[in-house]
Amino acid sequence: MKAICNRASLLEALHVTSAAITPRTPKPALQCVLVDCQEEGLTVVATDLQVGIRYRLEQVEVKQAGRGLIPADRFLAIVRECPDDTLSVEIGESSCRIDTSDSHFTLNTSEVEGFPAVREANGQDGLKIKAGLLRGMIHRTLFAAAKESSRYAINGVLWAPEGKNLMMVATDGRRLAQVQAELISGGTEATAIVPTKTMSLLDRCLVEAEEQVWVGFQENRIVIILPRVTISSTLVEGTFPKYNEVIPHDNTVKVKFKADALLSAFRRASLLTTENSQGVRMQFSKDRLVLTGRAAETGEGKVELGIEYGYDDLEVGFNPHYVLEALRVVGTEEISLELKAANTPGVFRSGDDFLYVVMPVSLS
Amino acid sequence: MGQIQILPELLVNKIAAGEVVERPASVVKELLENAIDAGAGRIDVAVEDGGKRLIQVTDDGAGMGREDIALAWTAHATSKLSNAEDLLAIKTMGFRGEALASIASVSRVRIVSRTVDNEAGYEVSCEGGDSHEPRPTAAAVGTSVWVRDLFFNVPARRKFLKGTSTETSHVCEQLTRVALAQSQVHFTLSHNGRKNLDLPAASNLRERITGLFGDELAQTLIEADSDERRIRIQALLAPPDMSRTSSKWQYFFLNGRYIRDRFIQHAVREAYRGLIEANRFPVAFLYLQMAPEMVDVNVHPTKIEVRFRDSNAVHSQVLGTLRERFLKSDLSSRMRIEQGEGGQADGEKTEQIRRAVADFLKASPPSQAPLAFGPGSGGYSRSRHNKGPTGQELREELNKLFEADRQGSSSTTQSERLEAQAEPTIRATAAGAVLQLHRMYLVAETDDGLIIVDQHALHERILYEQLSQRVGRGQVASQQLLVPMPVELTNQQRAMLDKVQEILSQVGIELVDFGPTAVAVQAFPAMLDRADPGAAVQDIVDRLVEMPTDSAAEQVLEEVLASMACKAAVKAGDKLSEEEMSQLLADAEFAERSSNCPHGRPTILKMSLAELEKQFKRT
Repeated sequence: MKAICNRASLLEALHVTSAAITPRTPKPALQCVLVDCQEEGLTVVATDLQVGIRYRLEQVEVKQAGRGLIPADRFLAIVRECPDDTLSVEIGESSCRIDTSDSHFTLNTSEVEGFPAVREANGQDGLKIKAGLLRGMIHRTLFAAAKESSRYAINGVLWAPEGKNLMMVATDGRRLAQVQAELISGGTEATAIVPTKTMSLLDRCLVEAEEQVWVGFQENRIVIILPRVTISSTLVEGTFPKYNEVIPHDNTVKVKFKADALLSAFRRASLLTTENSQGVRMQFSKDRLVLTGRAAETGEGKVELGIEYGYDDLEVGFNPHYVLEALRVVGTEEISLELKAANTPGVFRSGDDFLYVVMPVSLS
Repeated sequence: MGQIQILPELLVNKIAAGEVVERPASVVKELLENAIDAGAGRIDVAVEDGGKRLIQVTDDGAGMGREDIALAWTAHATSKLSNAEDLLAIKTMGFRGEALASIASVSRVRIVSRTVDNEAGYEVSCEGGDSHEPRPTAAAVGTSVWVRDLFFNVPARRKFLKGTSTETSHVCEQLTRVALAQSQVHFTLSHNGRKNLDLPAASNLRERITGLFGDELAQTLIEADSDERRIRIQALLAPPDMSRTSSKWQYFFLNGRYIRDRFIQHAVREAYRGLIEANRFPVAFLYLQMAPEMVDVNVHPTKIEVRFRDSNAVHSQVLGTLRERFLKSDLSSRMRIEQGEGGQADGEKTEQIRRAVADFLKASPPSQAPLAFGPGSGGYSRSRHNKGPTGQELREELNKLFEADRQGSSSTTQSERLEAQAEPTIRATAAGAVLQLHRMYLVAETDDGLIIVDQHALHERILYEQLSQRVGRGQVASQQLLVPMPVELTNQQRAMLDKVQEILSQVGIELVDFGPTAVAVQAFPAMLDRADPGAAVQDIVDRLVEMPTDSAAEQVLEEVLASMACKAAVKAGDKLSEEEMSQLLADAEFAERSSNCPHGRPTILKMSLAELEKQFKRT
C-alpha cells in the first residue's frame, strides 16, 4: 500500500482516533492504528474493544491499495513533527515507510489479522441530529457523569430519545445534569447509557456545527455516523437511576442570576476553600446574596451579590466545584436557581433545555 | 489437744519459698537485689546447669559482719526496714526479709561475706534449713552466695523445673531486668564456666541497652522524658519499624525495680497505636520515678506487681509523654539494604574507626573546632559561618555533655543533637523532582538523601488525619446524595449499626432505613468525593462487625475514619500528576504521624546520602 497524505488532515485523523486507544494495553495490536487504503480513500481505525472509530481521510492520493497496523504513538509523533505539507506512507510486508522531503522512517508493523473489526451500522432506523446541537448536549452533561463509580450505570450518559426530541442525563450521585435538544428526525425511543469515553471521543469529532449526525442503537451498541467518522461503542449495562424522581418540583424560591456574575462570585468565594473543604455557603436575604467559602487551613472568603430576592431569608451550602462546572457550560446569559430550604436540593435552569440538580452540603 | 498447731519455722519458710522461689531465676533475682541493696558496683553471676545445680552471685558491696551473717537464715530479719512507717517509704529493692530464709529452706546455701572494716570475712552455710555458727574465713570485701541443688528437698518442685536452656534464658531475663534498672553496676553472667555476658558499668541507659540488645536497636531509640505531678518518666522508645511480635521487649521500671503493669502497657500501646500494625508490639524501655508513698510495692512477694495510688494519672502521663515525643519525631522507616559480605566487613571497619576516633576525642577534647566534613558542602560552610566554638568553650561543653551522661540524667542533649539532623526533611527539592514508580511509589529528593513513599498509604494517613481533625472540630461537611445508596446488611450488622449511628453522623454519614435488611446512605462526607458512598459504608460495616462488641466509641470512630480514608485515598495503580505528587508530599509535612498509615504500615522510607555513599562504597 502506498499513499500521499495531507499532513494536517492525517494529523487530525490520528489525534482523534488515538483517543480511542487505551495506553498500556497488553495487546500490542491495540496500541496501533489500522491504516486501510482503498481506491476511494484512506481510513484510520482504532479501538480498545469497547469503542472503535473509523476516520476517513480526505486529501489523499492513493498510489496503491492495501492495509497495515502502525504503532499509534510513533506514527502520531512522526506526523506531528513533519515540516512538510504532505508525506508519503508506504506499508510493506512487515514494515512501514514514512517519507517526508528530508526524513525517512521505517517502522516495524504488526499482523493485521489480530486487529478487531469496528462494526458498521446494520441499516436500522436511527436518529438524526445536527452536530452542533449534539456537541452542546455533550458539554452540558458529560462533566456530571461519574468517573469510576462501582455503580457502573452512572459511568456514562443516558440518551433518551422521545419523538423528535433527545434528552441526555448524567449524574454521579451527588448532582445531575439534564439537557434536551430537537432532532432532525426521530426513529427510536430506546434509551441507552453511553460510556463517558465514547462521549468524549464523539465530542472530538463534532467539528462542523451544521453537519448531520446519524445515531443508531442495536444489540447493546451505539453506532454514530458522521460524514468522515464512524464510531461504534458498547453501551453501559445496568439501570440508570430514575432521574425524574430526583428532580424536585416543589422548589418555591426562584432566583435569577447573570450566569457570568454568579460564576465570578462563586469562583471568588471558593478561592480560599481547599479540595477537602466545606463547600460554599449561600446566604439569601432581601435583594442580596452573600457567598462564603472557608477552610480551616486557609481562611475565609466572602462575596456579595446584588440580586432580586423577596422571599424569606435562606441559607444553603453547595460544593463549589459542582456549581462552577455547570456555570462554565450553560452557554446562556441568564440562569435561575430554584430552592426550597437549607437541606434540600437546588435546581439550576438555563433556557428551557438545561436543568441541573445539585445536592446540598450540610455546613456545621 | 487442739487441732491447730503452730507450724515449725522451717515449714513456714518452705511455704514462703513457694511464693518467692519458683525457679533458679527467682533466686538470681533475690540475690541480685540483695547485692544492689548492699551498694555493689560489680556483680558476677555464675550458674551451672541453668541454675539447677549452682547459682553463685558475688558482689563487691558492703558485706556483713559476724552478727549480721548469723541472722542470715532468720526469716523477717532484714536491715532494710525497722518499723511500719518504713514500709510506706521503701527505697531498697528488698525489704521483707524472706528471701534468704526461703532460699535456704529449699537448697544448700553457703555465704561468704566481709565488710571493709574487718580483716577477715565470715562464712555460714545452711542445708535445707540446718545451719551452723559463722566461721571466720579469708574473703574479699563484699558478699558471695552459693546456692546449690535448688529444691533438693522438694522433689515435686524439682520435677517442675524446665530444661537447662529454658532455665538459663529465665536467668538471663532476670539479669537483663536488673541490669537495665541498674546501669551503673558492672554485671557479668557465666554459664557452666563460660562467660555469656559482660556489661561494664554504663554511663547511660543507651550504653547499657547496647550491651544487652546490640547497637542497631540502641542507636534508633528515641528518648522522651517528663516530670509532672511528681511522676518522673524517662523513656527510650524504639521507632515503630523495630516492633516485635510479643510484648517481651517492653521493660518498665519503677524506682529502679522491674515491674509489670497493665496500665503502663496499655498506655504504651495507645501511644504507638496507628504507628504499628495491630499484631505487633513496640519495643520500649520506661523508667518511672515517684515518691514511695505514691505506690504500694508490697502487693506480691516478688514485687513484680505494684499498685499505684492514682493509676489513671500514671497512664495519662505515660501516654502523654510518649505521644508528644512521637509528634515531634520523624518516625519514617529507614531503608534496610542487605549488604554483601564485603560491605559488612567494611561497615565494621568504619565502625571501629568511628569508635576509635570517639574514644580519642573523649580522652582529649580537641583544642580547635573541628571542620565538619559532612556529605555535601553544608557542614563546611556552616562551621565557617558560625565561627565555631573556641577550644575552651568546646571543652566545657563536652565535659558538660559527658558529665550529664555519666549521671545517667535525663539530659538528652547528645541524642537530641543527633536527631536534630534527622528531623523530617520530606521537602521535595525546588525543582519538584518527584518520580512515580510503577504507579505505586513516589521517589523524591530530600535535603540529605531520598525518600520512597507508598502513595496509597501516605494519602490514606493524610486523609485520616484531616478527617479526624475535622471530626474533632465538628466541621465535617456532609454532601447529600441524589439517590440514597442501599447497603445490604446481615442481622448482626444491622444491630451493630444501630449502636454506632451517632458516631457515623459525627463523620457526616447519614443512613436511613431501607427495608428490613438494608440501609441507604443519604449523605456522605463532602471531602471524600472520590469515594463511592455505598461501597465505603459497606466496608465500614464489615470492619465494625469484626471489632469486639465492647469497643469504646473512640475506637469505633478511629476504625470508621481509617476505613473511609482507605476508600477515598489514591490507590496503587493510580497515575498521579506532578501537582498531585507534590501536593501529597507537601501535605505529609503537615500531617501528624505521617510516617505510618492508619493500619501502622510505614508510608515513607528514608535513605540518607551517607547510607547511599556507604552502599556505593564511596566512603
